Amino acid sequence: MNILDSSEIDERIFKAIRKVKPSLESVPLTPSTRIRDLGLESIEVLTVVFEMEEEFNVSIVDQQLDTFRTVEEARAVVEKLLAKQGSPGTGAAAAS
Amino acid sequence: MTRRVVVTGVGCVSSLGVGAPALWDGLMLGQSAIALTRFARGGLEAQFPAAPVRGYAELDHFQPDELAMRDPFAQYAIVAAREAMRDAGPDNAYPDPAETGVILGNGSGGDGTREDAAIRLFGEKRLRCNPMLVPRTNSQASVGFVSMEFNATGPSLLISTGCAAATHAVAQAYLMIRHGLARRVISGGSEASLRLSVLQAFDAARVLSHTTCRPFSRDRDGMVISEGGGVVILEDLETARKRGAPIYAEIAGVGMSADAHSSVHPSEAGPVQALRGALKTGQVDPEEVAYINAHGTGTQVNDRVETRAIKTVFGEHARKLVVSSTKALHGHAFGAAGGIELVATLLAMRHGVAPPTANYLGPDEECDLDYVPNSARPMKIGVAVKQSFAFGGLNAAVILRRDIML
Repeated sequence: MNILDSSEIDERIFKAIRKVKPSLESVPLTPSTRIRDLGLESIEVLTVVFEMEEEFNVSIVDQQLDTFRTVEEARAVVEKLLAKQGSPGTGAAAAS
Repeated sequence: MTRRVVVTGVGCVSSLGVGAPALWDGLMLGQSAIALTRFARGGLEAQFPAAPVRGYAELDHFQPDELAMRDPFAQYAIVAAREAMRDAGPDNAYPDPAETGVILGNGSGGDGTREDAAIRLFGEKRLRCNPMLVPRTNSQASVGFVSMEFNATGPSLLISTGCAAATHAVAQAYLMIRHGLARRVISGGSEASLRLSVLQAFDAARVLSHTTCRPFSRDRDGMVISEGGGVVILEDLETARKRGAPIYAEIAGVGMSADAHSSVHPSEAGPVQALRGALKTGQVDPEEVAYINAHGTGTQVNDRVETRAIKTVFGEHARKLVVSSTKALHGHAFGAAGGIELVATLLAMRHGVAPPTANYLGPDEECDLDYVPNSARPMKIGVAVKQSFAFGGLNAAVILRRDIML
């Protein structure tokens, strides 16, 4: 199964973050960016996780995996979930 | 403590356009915003006469980051409140945020967002909900956002009495100021329920027109749904005078009642009781009332019962005062209706012109008052009534007096 490469996963996590906070479009995001340092309210952080679930068609919260702090750590969770389900990670949101 | 309460600012988003001037121009031109409109959701579609908000783009009023949490019903309240606060003038007479409250009405909060969520959940079988669904759709979201916008920390609440919500909200705001719980209240209502699910539900109850809204007219066949926001600034007379604010009118009195009779079939007694209550608390002689901005939905039963109630309260004077329903022009905005129509009434008093009841074809046997058919009419309006009635048999009336008697 062809799993997404790291940089593509990062880009799609950035996309999830910017969907919740469009003003971050002009802010450079990197793998080491700490999501809570982006000036998000707690409900916006929850919504980033929701948008990641949409983006990759994975279930993060139900498996209590929403403990990541950085984009890099989020990517590790996504990679683990994609590998487990053997899916290329094209969620409904990604497909639309 | 009893304070006198005046209106010093108005703001509006309606199917006649963004801003109170757009509402007034639309009312004076007499060109209805109602048009046959197609609604499609979840693979289904239907057409209804409707009056969506015109000329509104959310990015004209909000930053992109603000949109996720703000359903259109909250946006309309905020935009109308901004205009009303600007209209009321400099607010340095209110240095203590605890003196300003926010009391708004709506019928059903974020109905549109809930419709989208239901399609996702039950239609697409996707179990997870967007975490912002609750704060975005809560009925009180409009009140919360307006309080944040103006750092108003005084008494703030949401009144959800359907089509009477905004008028009930203004009545509560009046009572808050009158009895010293606040010195200024941002009040009125907003609604954004123009969705396929809502239209189908109202159509099932056989209250929607399939032609257009023609209140009090022969051949009327129902209401037409619209949306928007209507907000007024209420403050105590003393502060308003001290700061030299232009005053639209004094809220002379308010009345409220329940029919305690039927969920859907209005009684005459309920509106009569609300109207008489408003006249009594305002110590207004019925013969002073020059203009009534009616609930006037355009359904057979509402307009018949409302006409009867006016005749019962005013007797012979019912033939002298004039009544109009502006819903023929801007549609029925449910929880925003009383707010938009109160703005229309205040502008009518200021300009000395009664707005027309548009789409009027001729008298009905049971609706035989002067409804200002089809063309606006210049006239002095010293005392006016805004009344609203809701499913559940809940009624509210507000009496406005133009000349402030000291």
